[in-house]
Amino acid sequence: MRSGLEVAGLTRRFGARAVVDGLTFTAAPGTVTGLLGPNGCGKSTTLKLLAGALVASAGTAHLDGAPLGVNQVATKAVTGFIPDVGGLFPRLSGREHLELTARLYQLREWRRRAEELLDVLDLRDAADQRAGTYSHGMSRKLSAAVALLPPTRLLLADEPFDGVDATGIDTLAELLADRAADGTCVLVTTHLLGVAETLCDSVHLMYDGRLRARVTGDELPDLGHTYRAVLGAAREDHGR
Amino acid sequence: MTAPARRRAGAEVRAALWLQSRDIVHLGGRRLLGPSLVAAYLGVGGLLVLGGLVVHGQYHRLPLVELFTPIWLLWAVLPAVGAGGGSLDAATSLAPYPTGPAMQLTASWAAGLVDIQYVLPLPVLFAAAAADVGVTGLIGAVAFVAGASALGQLAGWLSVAGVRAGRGQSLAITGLAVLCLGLLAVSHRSDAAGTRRLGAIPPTRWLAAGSHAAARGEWAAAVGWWGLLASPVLLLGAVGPGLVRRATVARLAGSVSRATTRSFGPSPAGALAAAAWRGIVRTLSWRAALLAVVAIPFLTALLAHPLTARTLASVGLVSAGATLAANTWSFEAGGTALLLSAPLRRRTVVLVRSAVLAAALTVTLAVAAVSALVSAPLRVAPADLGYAACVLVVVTVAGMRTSISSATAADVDSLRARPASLTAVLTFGGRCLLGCLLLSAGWSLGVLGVLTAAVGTIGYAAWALRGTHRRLTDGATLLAAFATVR
Repeated sequence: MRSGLEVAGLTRRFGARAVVDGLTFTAAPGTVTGLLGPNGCGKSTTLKLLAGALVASAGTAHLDGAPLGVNQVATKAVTGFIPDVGGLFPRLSGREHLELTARLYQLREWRRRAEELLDVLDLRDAADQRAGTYSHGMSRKLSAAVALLPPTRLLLADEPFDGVDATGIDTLAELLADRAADGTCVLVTTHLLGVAETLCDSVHLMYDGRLRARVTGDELPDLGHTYRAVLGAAREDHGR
Repeated sequence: MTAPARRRAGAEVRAALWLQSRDIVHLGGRRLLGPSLVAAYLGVGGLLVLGGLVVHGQYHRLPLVELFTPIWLLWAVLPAVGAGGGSLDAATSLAPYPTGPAMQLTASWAAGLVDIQYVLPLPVLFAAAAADVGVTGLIGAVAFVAGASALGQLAGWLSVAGVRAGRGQSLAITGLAVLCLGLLAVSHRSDAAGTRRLGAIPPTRWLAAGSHAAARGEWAAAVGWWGLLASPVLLLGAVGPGLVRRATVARLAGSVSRATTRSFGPSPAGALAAAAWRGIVRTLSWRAALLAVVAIPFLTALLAHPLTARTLASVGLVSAGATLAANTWSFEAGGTALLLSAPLRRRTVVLVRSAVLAAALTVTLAVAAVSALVSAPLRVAPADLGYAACVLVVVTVAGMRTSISSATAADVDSLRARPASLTAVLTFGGRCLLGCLLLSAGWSLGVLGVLTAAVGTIGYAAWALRGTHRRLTDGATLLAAFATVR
């Protein structure tokens, strides 16, 4: 029985400031969980901590009971990550990125899946060009393709729709939903309330490094209203 | 130039100098370190000049020409082949601001003047000029520095502005310069007596002539020589802005070349190594570093004595390392986010990166050795190979350590890809210089000295790689450095 993602007291300080402050939540396998909040509230740092790019100052994170972290190679091998910026080697081509990912994740049958991803994300024509020459939207799509190539149990997507064209957003949202339907635990940050409402099974609202509210089920269609109310209350709290 | 244009250029020059001063203030990430080091440097330099003034008149003429000919070539000519000449601000980061060529030119010139190749010889130059002629000798020294560095800027900008419009033409000017140097060196090789060596080049003769004229009280002649020395500044003012405009447009245009896809090999570490290798060799900096190390033996063979095997190893590796090693994480840029989250141990990432970097530096050394063999006879003893191996290790690990502790997004697709921060320039240069000095001392002390130096090299490598591993464990430094890179 898989327990999914379990985060307990996750904290990250930069100097004296806690950018992520005692985050505790769970995300079940086969669901899409959203992290929503204003710029600088700690969403990207949370995802980097879970992806093992940063070290936590305190707290723990487990995927199906196994610890997540910098040198936890076994859990990293079942985790895909779309970072908020970067994630691409400027002098490798799109196709080379997919091959590199296949080698690093030790995949055997990957070429057909790679070609499918290039097709569905409209990257085929640029697949042999170096990533440094890609537009912002194309870079985001390639980052997504890299994270979606291995069959992971946890998929971390940090602003995956940022700069992506309208049809690309639909395609990407569909790919994330498909991955969740396959049993993957998907954690996504976005500023697009409409996408969050339709894509996510539950949404955590963050402010100043902490979780302020959780929105699920019937409350999701009213996400925008809840978000503004929670944010206003958090700002008032912060002001005091 | 109209009055508003003059005001705009003045504001840009001030902004560029302010940016450079920020680098000094934030040196090493500690608040008072930069200003303290600058004060100490100025203090030591002032004492040397005072010492020069005290001994002035007690000795016969100093060999200024012989002393400063190599320095003039280092400052004025080597930037043409991609070595030194200051770093360039990333064209993309300045592009959105209302800045013109004055800002780029001043920033590049100021960055060049605080590079290790200026920081070290400047006090010696001023002290020697003071000892030779007295206070007035300092005017000649200032004119010498201004002229040589201005020519270096022109050469450097010409090499990046050159013919970059079409594919395959990006290094045409640099390649041509190296070819000319090579042909000259080969033609001089047949001159067994060495009578046709270039010897002293005109600017250092002008420096000496100005000094001597001042010493004799012939002020009109002295001012004439000094004016001639500083005249490249006027040339830079006239031609520089056009070159900078052209270079900026060329660099912003970027390359759309397609990558030849070859298999990465089956193992994760092998794939990582292949990706790192491609990340280095697909840059302009790689080709520029190769051309620079090819040019060094040609230049020295033309000047005076050919390089010894050990000097070749030190100069070649440190020169190539300033581009390839001190910037090593910049070659990955945004890809570091992928590296940090990939299912690999951080130790594997550090070791693979070090091995690839060492391999790239070995290629540059091999190329430099071929160039040295072509330009003059080169004798290599087995002990020299050991020395070269130790320098290779020192340069590699010094680069790994510097590049991660002072990580910034250097423009590795420019011919002058130096470390982007002053801290990186000084720490990498200082570490390599100290390493080479200690190794040379060890090699001059016989077997025991060699063994001690080799053990010291291994110890330093272990310490530096451990530090790199620690820094990489938490990816915050690298992620912050490349946060603006896609």
